[in-house]
Amino acid sequence: MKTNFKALLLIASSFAIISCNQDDDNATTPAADAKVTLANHSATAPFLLKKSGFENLEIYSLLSSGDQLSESPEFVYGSMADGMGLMKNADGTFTLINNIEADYSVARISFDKTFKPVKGEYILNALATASTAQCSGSLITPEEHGFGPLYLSGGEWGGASKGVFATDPFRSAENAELATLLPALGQWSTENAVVIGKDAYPTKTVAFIGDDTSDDTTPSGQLAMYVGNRGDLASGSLYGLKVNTAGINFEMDMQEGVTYQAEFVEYQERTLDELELESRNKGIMGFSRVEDIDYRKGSGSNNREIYFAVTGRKKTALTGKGSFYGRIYKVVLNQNDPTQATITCVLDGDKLNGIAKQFHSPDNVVVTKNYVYIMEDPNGYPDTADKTHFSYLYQYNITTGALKVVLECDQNAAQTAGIGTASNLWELTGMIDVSDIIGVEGSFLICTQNHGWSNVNFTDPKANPNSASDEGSQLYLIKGLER
Amino acid sequence: MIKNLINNTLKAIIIYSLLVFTVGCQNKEKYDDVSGFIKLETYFKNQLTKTSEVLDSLNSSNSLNEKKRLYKKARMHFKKVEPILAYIDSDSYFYLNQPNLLKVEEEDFTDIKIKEPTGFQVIEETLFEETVDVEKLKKNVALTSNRIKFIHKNQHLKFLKKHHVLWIVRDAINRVALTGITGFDSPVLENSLVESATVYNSVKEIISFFENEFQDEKLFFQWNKQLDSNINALSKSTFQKFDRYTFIKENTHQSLILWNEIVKNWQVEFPFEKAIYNNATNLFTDKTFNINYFTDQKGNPIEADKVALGKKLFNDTSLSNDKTMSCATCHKQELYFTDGLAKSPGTTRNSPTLFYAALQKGFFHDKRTGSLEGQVVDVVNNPNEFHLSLNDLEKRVLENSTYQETFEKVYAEPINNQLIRNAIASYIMSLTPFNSKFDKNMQGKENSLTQSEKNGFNLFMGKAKCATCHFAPLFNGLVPTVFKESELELIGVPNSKDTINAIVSKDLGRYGIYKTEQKKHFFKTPTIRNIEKTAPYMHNGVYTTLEEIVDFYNKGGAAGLGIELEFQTLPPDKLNLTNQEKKDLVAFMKTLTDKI
Repeated sequence: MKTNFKALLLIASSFAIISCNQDDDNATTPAADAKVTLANHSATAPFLLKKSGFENLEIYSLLSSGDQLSESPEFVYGSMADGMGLMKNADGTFTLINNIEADYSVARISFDKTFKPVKGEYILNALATASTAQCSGSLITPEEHGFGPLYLSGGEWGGASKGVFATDPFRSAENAELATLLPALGQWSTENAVVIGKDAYPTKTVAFIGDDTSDDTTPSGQLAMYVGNRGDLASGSLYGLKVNTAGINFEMDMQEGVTYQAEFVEYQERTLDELELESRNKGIMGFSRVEDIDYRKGSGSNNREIYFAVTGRKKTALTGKGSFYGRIYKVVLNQNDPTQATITCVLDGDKLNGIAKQFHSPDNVVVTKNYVYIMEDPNGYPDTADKTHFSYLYQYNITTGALKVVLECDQNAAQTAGIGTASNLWELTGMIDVSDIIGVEGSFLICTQNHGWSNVNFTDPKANPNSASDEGSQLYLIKGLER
Repeated sequence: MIKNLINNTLKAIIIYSLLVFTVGCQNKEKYDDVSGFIKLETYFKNQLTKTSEVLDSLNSSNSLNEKKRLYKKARMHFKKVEPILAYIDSDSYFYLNQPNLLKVEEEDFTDIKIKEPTGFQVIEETLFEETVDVEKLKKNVALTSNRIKFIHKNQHLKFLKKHHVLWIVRDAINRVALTGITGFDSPVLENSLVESATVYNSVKEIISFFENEFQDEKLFFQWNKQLDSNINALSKSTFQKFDRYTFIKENTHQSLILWNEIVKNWQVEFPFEKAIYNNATNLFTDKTFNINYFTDQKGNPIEADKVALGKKLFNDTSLSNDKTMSCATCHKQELYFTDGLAKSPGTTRNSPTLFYAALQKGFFHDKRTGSLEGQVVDVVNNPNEFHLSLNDLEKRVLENSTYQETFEKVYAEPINNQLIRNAIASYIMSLTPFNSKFDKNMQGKENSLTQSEKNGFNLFMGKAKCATCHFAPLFNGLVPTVFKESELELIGVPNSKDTINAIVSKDLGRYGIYKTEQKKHFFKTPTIRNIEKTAPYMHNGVYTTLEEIVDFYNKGGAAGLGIELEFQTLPPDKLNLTNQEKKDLVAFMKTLTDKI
């Protein structure tokens, strides 16, 4: 990737000049041969509690809404940080693109060679997104996807520009230009859009879109798939996942661990309401809120293995139809034809004595070669003792099926330290594997939405001068997780 | 270098829409199709551009009068673009046209979003206040203009086919009739008739782009003549005096009949049904609404044998714990499926009628569940009602051997609690007769409405503003024309009839579900169909006569009784109805009684 980012180097260096006279203790410029040195850089301590078997993890708090960055002292890491993507630049520095959901914006954060955040700016503000919350995000890169770089993010709520946003990661922060949508990927209450690895299909670009629609009548979130020629996000076809096995009308008809035949049925419609009607008409499966999606890494065959989280919704009308507490599904695509597939619910939070009995609204996923990491965003109904906890990060072993709790948001300690209240449950989110990018095996970025940690200064006016949210966020690096 | 690559990717996305049209032009037959779509897209984009340009000049103008003039001008361009925009980006359309009320989205216990409203109605209410909040105005004009620019940049019509054009037109016809002429989205200026005429002009233009599609020139001529007649009717009257009854009965329905002719003439087949059947030519019949839109049951949910089975279960007291209560205990058919009591025994609220209950999105007064089947779960589980688990319910049904045979026959499946719920729901779904005096007159089967009754309807749909919440033709809170949401409102029902020392009912309504402060005392808008037979009224049964209800609204709801509620959604203004007008309103409401 390094050679491909000369342009960014130019942009980054031109910004660096402005920052030279900052009078900050930490503002020492790293030596030319500086290496990644993991350290806490935030004034806010890490509040992630390591669980049994994961005591050796190293956890660093990199950035929080309470911090000031040396090269951009005005910048505020805003409210409800969410999806992200990291790139290494030609000069050895790093660039993170990060959704700031509740401020309807997208931030670009620069890290020096030691992986210390030094500068932040907003490349899409609330005006540019027409006040649409950007939820999960994913970075398309030439190395991994065969084209790009291009940052995709899901427009889900707020101003209601419901669709997939595509953003140039090098976009100027001074540019007032409006954001770009990808209409060919359809209108959804979009949680995320994820392009799978280029080795999955030799000439095609295949993307998955998660529909986070919460419906009280019947589960109505679809798993959509877009297929175009390599790099073409405009003229391809759009499909929805249908389970073909007889007797499977609702997601709860699928049992944990059982594999069902499925296919992706083509859509003719592109508008929000009509896609829903077409889905029902064609028997396309509705889930109780499709959240994050990721694909398995390591080979073309692995790339055709998709995992997604259904966060669940508890309403009497959805009894027996949609998940209440959340599920993780695996979809495996046929190697010659992505429209032919199988689906398996691998983890079922509604089985109150099952392996995933602790699930309380799994929301975000990141998939490596051998593991699925699952983050929670509790919907607020801890109905059993197993489900009564702060947000968990789980590790699911794809080969053995073992599920372990890696860590928990330590909101009791946070409350004591004045960071939010234990009664407002935080969301763990945005996790990405950065091992290959920063050259440190087993390292991941993750953020928390520290609900209840409120401060009127936690929104950058350059992101959104009229933000309705003032809750802080925090960005961490975790080292030592298996991939 | 990389920047160029990205720019090219993004450019490719934008250029694509042009590409489709270019390819299409090589074929003469297709050329005609495509040229209509090009005209449509050009028209759409031009009107969007004009809307945002006028809004921008509004913001740069220093004269208040000029701002007001420009607002009306921007609104006219918006109304021209409305039919297309509302179809291709319904959420953005709603954003731009939302009421000036705090927007509370209760996604889940940990996810309550509270947002300040923006868009045209906010601008209208800000700009036409006695003292104008200049900063607020400027901010909302900028947000509105920016959203329109965003739509202009990002929305394409390239996926549209002929059936989409016809859906766009049909929605516009229905939108004018059901909300456009009621003052729903012009709360201060009451500019509804002028705006509705603008919509019809736009519809006329949209169809004219596709003139070549007509196999029969006479039909095109007839259509234009009908639209001219609609525009004429809207243009020559005033908001207060407009005869909405005749407009809907004649103009709207005639337009729908001709629209159906166009469907045939263009040889269009629709890929699926929506909330209103594609072939509906009248908004007030039992063939208007597609019940399948409202349920996830497969097949025909109101097949006679499903309904009969559901009715049997509905009346079966063995489904409650102590075998004394059935659904019919609180929903008695002879009382139009109510119980005539202020509050039903064991509950804290008034029993609502089940007629037309199926045609909603959201059940119970606080809208706590999303389907009739969900409602059954709540009633079965409620310790003060059936007090059984779903498994116990299933056992009770299994105990009765006659059910086993019937379920096998009806569903070709053994008894399970989901089918029990489906059957009861089927019975309730069958309760949509549309055979009231008013319906029969609207259908043209009778001509029996008195002038007072017609006047009452016109008041209901106009001056009295009832229809801005109780939307025709269901007269409940299900918002046309997307029929996706049943609204909750705060009108501030008092706890007694005492108008001197009125206090608000203690029932916090919707607040009970998610504990959202801003949702205290909110209740779902019920239907007023069969209201003559369903006294007492309101969630607590406080009012016993229709006259009392009219009086409550005439005063401005809670505000008029001296009850201050920050988030009251009912406009607090007095309606200034004359005694005759009040009588007319009551007379109209009594025409909504079905024959049972």
